[in-house]
Amino acid sequence: MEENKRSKEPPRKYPVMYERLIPLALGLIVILLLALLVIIFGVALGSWVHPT
Amino acid sequence: MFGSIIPLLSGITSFVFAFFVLKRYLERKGTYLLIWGIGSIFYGIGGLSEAYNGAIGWNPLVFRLWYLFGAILVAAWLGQGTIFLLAKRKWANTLMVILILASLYGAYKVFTAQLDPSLMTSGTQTGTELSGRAITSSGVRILTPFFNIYGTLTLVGGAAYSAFIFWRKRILLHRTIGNILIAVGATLPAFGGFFSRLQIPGALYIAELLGILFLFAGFIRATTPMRSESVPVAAATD
Repeated sequence: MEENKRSKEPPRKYPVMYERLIPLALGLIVILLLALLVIIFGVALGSWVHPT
Repeated sequence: MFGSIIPLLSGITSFVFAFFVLKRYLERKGTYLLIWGIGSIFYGIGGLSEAYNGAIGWNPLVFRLWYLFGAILVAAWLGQGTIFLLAKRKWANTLMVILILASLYGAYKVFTAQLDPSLMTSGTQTGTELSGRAITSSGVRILTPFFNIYGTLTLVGGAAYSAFIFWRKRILLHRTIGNILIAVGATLPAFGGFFSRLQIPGALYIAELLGILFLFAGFIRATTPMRSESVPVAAATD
């Protein structure tokens, strides 16, 4: 019943600018997050930036 | 200026942010708000410690406070707030107990560590910023990545996940935008630390200031509905 109710709701849209920007921002965040994890792991595993 | 004014601004902004978060906690309850408030206070302690070091100079107690709250705990505690928001209560409580125990162990290690401030101006650091290199005892700095990996995954990942869910359903635009700002803000201090290692002066402190400004803006955006959020597709194409 809940499913029927939901299926009757029309699909919604954000204002045009946000429809374009939000997927880009989410993609960028995923890239930043992965880069950050690589950096943290890299620093944790040793000074690979400046080996001493 | 990099050494004192910018971290001072970070510290003040963090405490103002904490005030808003804790005020909301008192009004609405929600453990996630309490933990975010505590995490914001940690952020502020880190900023004020940096400002003290820049304006007045080396002080072992201030350094220990900076390393414990600013370098080790802040991201993990903010991330723990997100866990309370998104995860099942049982998991959130379990992780909270682990985080408290780990934080106490971290405090013990930091406050019993041997320090040598001359090491902060050597090697890979810029010399203008506080650095964990001043810690000469083993088993202290190795703790930091564990806390930061947990904090990054939970805070950035949680905010991005929330934004994605709202975006996919095209609901609550203000929360989608707010979570995106929070996710970006949470990554900035870590990138600042990385660029500081690459000997870019001021990178850490500027990134920390931008980070708390993004987090603050994200929180305000996420908690303030917008005038036009989303519309049915038919109406949007009219």
